Amino acid sequence: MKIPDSELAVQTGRTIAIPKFWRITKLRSLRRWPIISGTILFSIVSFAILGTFVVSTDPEAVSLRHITDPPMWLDGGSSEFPLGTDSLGRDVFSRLVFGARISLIVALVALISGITIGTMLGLIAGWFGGMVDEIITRIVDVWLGFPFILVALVVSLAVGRGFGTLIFLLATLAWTPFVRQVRGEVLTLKSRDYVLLSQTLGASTFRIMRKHLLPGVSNTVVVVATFQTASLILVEAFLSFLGAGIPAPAPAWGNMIAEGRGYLQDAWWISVFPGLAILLTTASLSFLGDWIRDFTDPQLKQLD
Amino acid sequence: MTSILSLLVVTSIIFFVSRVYGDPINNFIPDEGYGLQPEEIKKVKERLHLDRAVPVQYAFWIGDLLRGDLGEDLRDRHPIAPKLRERIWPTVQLAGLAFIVATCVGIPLGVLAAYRRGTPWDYGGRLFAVIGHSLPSFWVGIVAILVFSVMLKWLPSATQGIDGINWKNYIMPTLVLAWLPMAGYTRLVRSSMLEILDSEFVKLARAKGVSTRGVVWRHGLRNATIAPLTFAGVLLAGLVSGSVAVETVFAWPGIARWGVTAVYSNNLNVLSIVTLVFTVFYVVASFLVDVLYVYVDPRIRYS
Repeated sequence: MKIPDSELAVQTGRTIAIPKFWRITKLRSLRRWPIISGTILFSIVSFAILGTFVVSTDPEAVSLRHITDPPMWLDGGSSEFPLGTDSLGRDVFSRLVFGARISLIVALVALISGITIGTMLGLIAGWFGGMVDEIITRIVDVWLGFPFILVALVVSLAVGRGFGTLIFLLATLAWTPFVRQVRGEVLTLKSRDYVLLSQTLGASTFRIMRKHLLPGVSNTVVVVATFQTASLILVEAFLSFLGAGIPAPAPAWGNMIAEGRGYLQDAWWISVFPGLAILLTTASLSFLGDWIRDFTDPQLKQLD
Repeated sequence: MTSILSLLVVTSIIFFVSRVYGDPINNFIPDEGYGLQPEEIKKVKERLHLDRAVPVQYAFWIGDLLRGDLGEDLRDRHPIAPKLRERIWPTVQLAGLAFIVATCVGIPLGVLAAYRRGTPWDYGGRLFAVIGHSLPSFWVGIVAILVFSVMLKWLPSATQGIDGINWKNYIMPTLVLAWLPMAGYTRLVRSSMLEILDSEFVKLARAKGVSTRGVVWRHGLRNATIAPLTFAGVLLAGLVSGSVAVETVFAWPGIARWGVTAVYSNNLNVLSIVTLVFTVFYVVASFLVDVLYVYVDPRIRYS
């Protein structure tokens, strides 16, 4: 998709000015690496892992003397609670840090199961074709038509809210894009010489899948996985917001937004900061995914 | 065929799973039972078919549905049909408006970003697309309420029931709902437009002396609209879950919020109908997209 500037000038009939900023070669080579999004993601992940070392305040500790304290840079804020406190006097910053842990773990576990199921079905559908392909593609189509949020609400109320339920629900959502993309990729790989040769030599289906197809689709899977992580985090937050995610006292980003909703007038920070945390995480993931795609395979189409 | 299957699967999941956490009869008759005798409770159960096994109940429900009987609200015993008619209109209005706004803003923005590649327009468009994809729409709604209702006091934060909607009520929910598809359009149109501007037939048109504007809008746009259509499924699913978010945040009197409250109150009949409506919407819309696809892209003909 990279079009030389001179060529584009021919097509559109005008020269396109590239901002001076990027003309400096040094910055240009810097631009190849997703520095900003990489740094943001790295710090969020390390916050999530090192949680207890970063913040000393217990995210669930209630303090009645510090109800809805503002962030430290506003009047009445103190450095004890850098991002303020919520309606029960709990530290917003420490809840954010521990919320990152919950959100990331949930999204990652769901993602891994999604990758496994999705890639496997995609390989099978693409390789065998015919009836099998038809059935798997149809299942994916039906699945996409689900009003997922409502079904998820019902299931989580029926089975009981919690870690397990949430991960299960997200896993049922996570696998479809992998099937689609992997299947498409396998369809082109199938007719490559090395695959045909391997078949002629009598390699088993399993061996061809493992040795030739899986490495071929791995780029696509990584790219889809970054985007999918972002959307899983969003869905997780929405389910928690509706009360179908992680049960209340635990700090999850969606919970925090929901809790702060009633206090918009007096304490906007309770809802605003978790949303910003979500934005930073998901936007960085998107940028990273874009970058990986351009880096590994410039031919791959935009996903969604 | 697939669509009918999908309708059946969705409704049966709702039907079976919602039974796990409680008999809907408890909705109808509180624990004390209003002093009802066990025989009378049994009679009510029989009337609602709640005494049968769940699969049989499901069969009854499908049968009623095919005869045009949507059943009754388990909470207040009123028939569901008029309630549905009352609530579906606000949802359709909101989703339709949002769709129009998204199309009218997103596609030109994508074209502009591709056409002025490398300029602030492009960077702005791409940044907008990424941010639009990364924000949870319920949070955007809350922040919009914070800024425009609480701080500036320009717009109302919620509606006053179904009759209390005036034009000011539409602004925030429409924009918040349009946000996500708008970002999707911008992104898709931009990338496919870039590809098309690079293609042979556009170069030929340029060589023949077609003006820049003619190339971009006539040759480019027509082809660039194919890409968003390919992903219409994802977009439609996003519109459904987006309505749930927006209607919850803005207390919109539509069916999505009705469905959410029905989940909390174990109002099985309402919930089944709402889920069914959403699935039907999805199925019909994807069918329309398929038809539109053939119209926009004559290279595809169904055999």
